[in-house]
Amino acid sequence: MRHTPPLLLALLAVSALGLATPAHAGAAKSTYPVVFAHGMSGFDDILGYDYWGDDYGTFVGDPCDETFEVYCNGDLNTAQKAFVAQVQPFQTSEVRGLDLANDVEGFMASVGASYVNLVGHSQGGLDIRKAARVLRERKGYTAVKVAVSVSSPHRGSPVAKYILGLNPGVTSVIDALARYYGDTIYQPGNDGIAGAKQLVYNDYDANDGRTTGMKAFNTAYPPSSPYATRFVSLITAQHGVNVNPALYLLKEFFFDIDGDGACTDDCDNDGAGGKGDGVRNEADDDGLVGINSQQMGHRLYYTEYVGFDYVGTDTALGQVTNLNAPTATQMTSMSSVIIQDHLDVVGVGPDTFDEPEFYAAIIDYIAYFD
Amino acid sequence: MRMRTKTILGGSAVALLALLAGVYLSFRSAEPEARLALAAASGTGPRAERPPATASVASPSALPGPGGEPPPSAPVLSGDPDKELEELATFMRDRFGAKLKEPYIQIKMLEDLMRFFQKRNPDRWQEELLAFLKKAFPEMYDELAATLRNRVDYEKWVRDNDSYLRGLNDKERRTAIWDARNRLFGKENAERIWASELKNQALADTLVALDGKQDANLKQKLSTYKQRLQEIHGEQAEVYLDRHRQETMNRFLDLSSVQKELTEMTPQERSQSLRTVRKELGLDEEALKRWDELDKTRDTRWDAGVKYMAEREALAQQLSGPELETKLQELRARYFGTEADVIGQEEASGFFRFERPRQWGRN
Repeated sequence: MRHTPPLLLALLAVSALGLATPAHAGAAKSTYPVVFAHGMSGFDDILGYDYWGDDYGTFVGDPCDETFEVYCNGDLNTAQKAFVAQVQPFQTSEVRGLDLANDVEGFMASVGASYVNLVGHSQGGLDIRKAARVLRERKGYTAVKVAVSVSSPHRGSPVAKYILGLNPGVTSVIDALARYYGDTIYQPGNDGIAGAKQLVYNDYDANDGRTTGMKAFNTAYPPSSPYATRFVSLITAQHGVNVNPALYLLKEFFFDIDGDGACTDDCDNDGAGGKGDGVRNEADDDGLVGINSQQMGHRLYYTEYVGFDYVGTDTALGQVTNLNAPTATQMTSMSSVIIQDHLDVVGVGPDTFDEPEFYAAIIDYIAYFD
Repeated sequence: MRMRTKTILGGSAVALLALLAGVYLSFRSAEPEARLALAAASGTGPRAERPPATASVASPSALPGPGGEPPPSAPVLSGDPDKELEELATFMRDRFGAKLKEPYIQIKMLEDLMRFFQKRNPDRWQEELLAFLKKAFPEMYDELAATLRNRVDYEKWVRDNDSYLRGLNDKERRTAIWDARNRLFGKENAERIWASELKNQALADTLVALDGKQDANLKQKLSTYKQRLQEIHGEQAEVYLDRHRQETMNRFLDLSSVQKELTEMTPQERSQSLRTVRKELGLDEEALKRWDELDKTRDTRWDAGVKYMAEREALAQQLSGPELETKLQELRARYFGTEADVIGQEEASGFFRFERPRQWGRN
């Protein structure tokens, strides 16, 4: 083990409480633009909240480039470029990933960029994998530099299967999704049932003539180097009264994911790869996704500092390159899990999570690798 | 929502935990995160792991900031509880002081401080925070204390009324939320705190209204859209467009009435109209040329898609099972080249991309 100077050790000790000295006082500019890909529902809002905003509607990707500008992200480099993509709110990631690729293609034409970075929250983290592959096939080169997923159900979500099965508390799949995500689902082009089937690990219906689910999707759109230079993910989990009220009700009264056990495929048939450890009421999921579903590529850690937060690679766990076969440790380790619920990391408030600084720290990470 | 009150720790326990966590982090920092030299040229391959956070503060000249002015360096907290708060106060004054009259900035600073004091003392964070404000911002203490109280009350109101709000339609929900904000913060302050949300909402409302305008054509809608962008963002309109030109364009082209009109045009008229929309929203000539090329590429893709679907249907009437799939693979490879496998995967999942409507300027 490398010798750690006592001063650094002390500083790190303080940092564990989030009271520490910062590593930086702002994000470096990424070489290529950062594209934000929303999750299910998304784009404009979830029940009136701006998806990629802080809790007050200010976009996390807008730098402050005027001296007295107020509504901007002061942690970004003034020249940072970002783009908010828009895909069909409720659909499979086959559909949404293609939408995203088209959107990115258009953005690249507008700004003259040859490469981009992609950041996807929740289902957006699945969509970015398909978009990365489509862009590669169309352009003939790896157009995506860094692909980042946040709270994404790469190996499915038991909640999707619970809803599709019309289990207690659910009388209609669409109504259930509307309750959590808003009336957007009733707009044309949406298919909430197909969207939910996407988020179940196995093919949901062997007799419908189509192969759905994350297992097949992961085989088709792996986090592999031809499609992006680097795949990374941030993992969230939380339990107790601090969870978003809607997710709290879901966890407390209907269905609480047990998401920190490992096995081959979906051995307990709960709708997500892996299994539980027998204890549901713990921080092994973020309300919608278990921790054993969230790692794609490298796992990242996120440390809050007083000055500027920091995102780095948790190298101890290694990469997940085959999303259908992570190691037991990658499925169960609480290392670097961010104690936030599924919606805290986007603009659903009010909470004190600092979305602008969080995404600035992610952009700072991207800037190092792109 | 943020962990706040889960753990009650005495001072010594905090120190012990902090030390243990520090040891853990120091172990992690010893993992092989050292930079590795790479033969690949910059930008062509992954870089070695960047080093973990350290206590060093980057050179101010390298940092971003408003108008090119670097933001303040963050404080090096000494660990001495009293001194630490002084350092924090200096940092907060440097970072927020110049704009602290703005209610939005007050909220942002207070949330930073809430995080800090909630971690420092989960039970008495509010008292400690207020004491800090009194010392660090004596001239603004009353105002900041009121904003903090309102912010805490607002969070409680949203949590307490979550079920009620979910039962409302969009318009009713918006009204209820704004009623609460106005009541707690005062109308003027609330509108300044949520100014971005108000602008986003105004733009969304504009788009809905434009889409419903039966008596206006695409050009007239575009003109009204530009005018509304100017009204909503005022002096910041150009800055907004610079940052969100693509989103602004996309949202206009996503209007069903605009798509309908584009569909009814001849290819030449459509091409010209798309060019006009892009030019009017500020794309330069180089960008317009790139879009001309992309439009042509997309037209070619869709033409191939139409032919493919017709041939596909004919094959499906003659063949089935693996024999059909083999023929379809050949067909897809012929029409779509490197994208053929992706389209095959889509079809296996039940998605046929060429059955979806063409969205001009979007797909």
